[in-house]
Amino acid sequence: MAVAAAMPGSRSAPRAALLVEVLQQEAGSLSVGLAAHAADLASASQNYAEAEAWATSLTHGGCLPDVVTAGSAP
Amino acid sequence: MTFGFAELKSWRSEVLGTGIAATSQGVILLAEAGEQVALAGRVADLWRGPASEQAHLRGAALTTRAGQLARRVTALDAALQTAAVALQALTDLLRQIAAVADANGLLITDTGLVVELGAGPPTSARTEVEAAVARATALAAQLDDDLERALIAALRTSSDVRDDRTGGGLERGYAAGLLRPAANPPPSSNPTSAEVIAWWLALPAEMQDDAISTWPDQLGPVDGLPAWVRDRANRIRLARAETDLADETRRLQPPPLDQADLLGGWPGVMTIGTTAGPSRRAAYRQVLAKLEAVQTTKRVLDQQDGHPRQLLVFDVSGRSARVAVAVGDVDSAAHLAVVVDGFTTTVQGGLAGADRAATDLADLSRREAGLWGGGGDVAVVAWLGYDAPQLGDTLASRHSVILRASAEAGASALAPFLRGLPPDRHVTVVGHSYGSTTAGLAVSRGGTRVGDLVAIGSPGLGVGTSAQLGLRPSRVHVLEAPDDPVAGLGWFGADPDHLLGVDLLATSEEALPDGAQARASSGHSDYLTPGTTSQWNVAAVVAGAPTLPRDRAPASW
Repeated sequence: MAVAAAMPGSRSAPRAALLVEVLQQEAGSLSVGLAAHAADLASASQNYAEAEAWATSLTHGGCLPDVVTAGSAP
Repeated sequence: MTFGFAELKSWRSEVLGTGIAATSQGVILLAEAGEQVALAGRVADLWRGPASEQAHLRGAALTTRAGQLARRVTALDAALQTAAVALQALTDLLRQIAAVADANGLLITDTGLVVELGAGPPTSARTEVEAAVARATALAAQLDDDLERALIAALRTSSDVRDDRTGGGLERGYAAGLLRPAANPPPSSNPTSAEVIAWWLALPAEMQDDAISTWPDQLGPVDGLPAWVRDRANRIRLARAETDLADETRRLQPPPLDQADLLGGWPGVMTIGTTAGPSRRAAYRQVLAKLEAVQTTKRVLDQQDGHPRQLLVFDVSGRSARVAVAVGDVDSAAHLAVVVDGFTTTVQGGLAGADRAATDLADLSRREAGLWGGGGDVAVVAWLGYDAPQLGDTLASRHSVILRASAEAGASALAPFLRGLPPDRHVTVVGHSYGSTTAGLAVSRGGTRVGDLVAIGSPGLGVGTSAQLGLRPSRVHVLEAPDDPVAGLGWFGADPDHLLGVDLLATSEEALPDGAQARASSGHSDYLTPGTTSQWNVAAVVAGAPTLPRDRAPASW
């Protein structure tokens, strides 16, 4: 709330101080959420690629019929 | 103004700088996180499937929120920087005033009075210092007002963002009465449904009511939004349209027939939501028909029969009104049916009957789902969302009933509507007559999440083979009464009766599993009449319950 002390007695300074605090907090938490989402995307993408490669190797090895894909693999 | 000269002397622009540093840091944080998500999104491009779609949708919502927040933080940053410059100028002025006062033996009190320390008459220096103090005080008040306005503008720059992880910062702001939430407008310039949906998902719950009231035209037509949102937005649009069309009707009230009509009318008359008509009388008739459609829709929605209704489609911008009304709650029902009617259907002439049929079908389906299906609630949509061919359309017109143009245009509206229904539901499309052609064409476009297609009295589904529908043939159900002159025409593609592997359902008199006797349906327009075998069968498909096949005894009860 340091900003409130910039203009003692004014109406605008307390509001500015609260806004700064709240938006700073929001920006921090949202950036954490965004970073977590980015990590999830990368991880899911990696898992998907691995599952697809596994399904392909089974199909080529004759273990499963051709219709099996990563989306339907057990 | 609540501050005195004493407070004014302690104002410091460098303290505002701490806020500027914080806002700048916030902008950087958001920008960096946004770049990470964009990079991860590109890496995850190869990931496919429903989970991927959900993840990308969530990512879009998060980045929308980040964008809104970044705009707000940037606006706050700019407001503080402007205030800091003004405050620096003010403190410089105060310093100069103090120096002049000192040099002339003057004292400025905490209330701003200028007093001479020595005895004697007022000097010109004292008068100047008094004027300077008054000017500085006025400048301070102006600065305070300007910053106040800039902060409010910054608050309105973007919608407030609430998230459980934030520790409730905004809620404390609301409670303190210092924050005034205002929703950011939805995307403009012909946004896609996905963009509007992403915007809606980013909207805090406490702002949704205001958003619907403020932007009903942007929300009502969007396929994929929750049914309750579309319903509330469309009801607002309905009320406005009634007022507009009533005004338009009065404006266009034509004079008695005159020479102009006899010579072909007055060309180029434009009306609200109406294309140019050949004459004022034609425009008047079109507007009047739309007004009747609006009033019919209101009556249907206002029925007090214990059935909730949702206005999912409302559009009076075309040559006729387009409406879809659901009986039941689309957002929560396990079984959804969309009934598409055909030739001669209009909202003003057909919605009440379509709603009655939908209500009866929903009631029967719900009962059958409970007795013989897997249970679950049922919602049935009477979908009059296209310009069906009319008796007045000549055979040569593009709206003619013998051409598929109207059905193609209808399919272009029906397919996205079906795609926008809630996921993971059992969806049945029921097409009657020309409506079955519209329904068949819509389903054949793919991605509609339709589980079953029911064709009743169908002149064709617009396809040559059942495979073109993208459904298993056993999920395509065909009902034809023996004396129906339209069913069996095979005018639009193959006769549905002859499509390989489709499920042919009984329309004859039959004993029902509950012991009741259902009567045969007769002619072209009797299929959904209560008490008929055909209605029972359609309800069974909708409910996911066993059906009565044509020309065969029930397999197992």
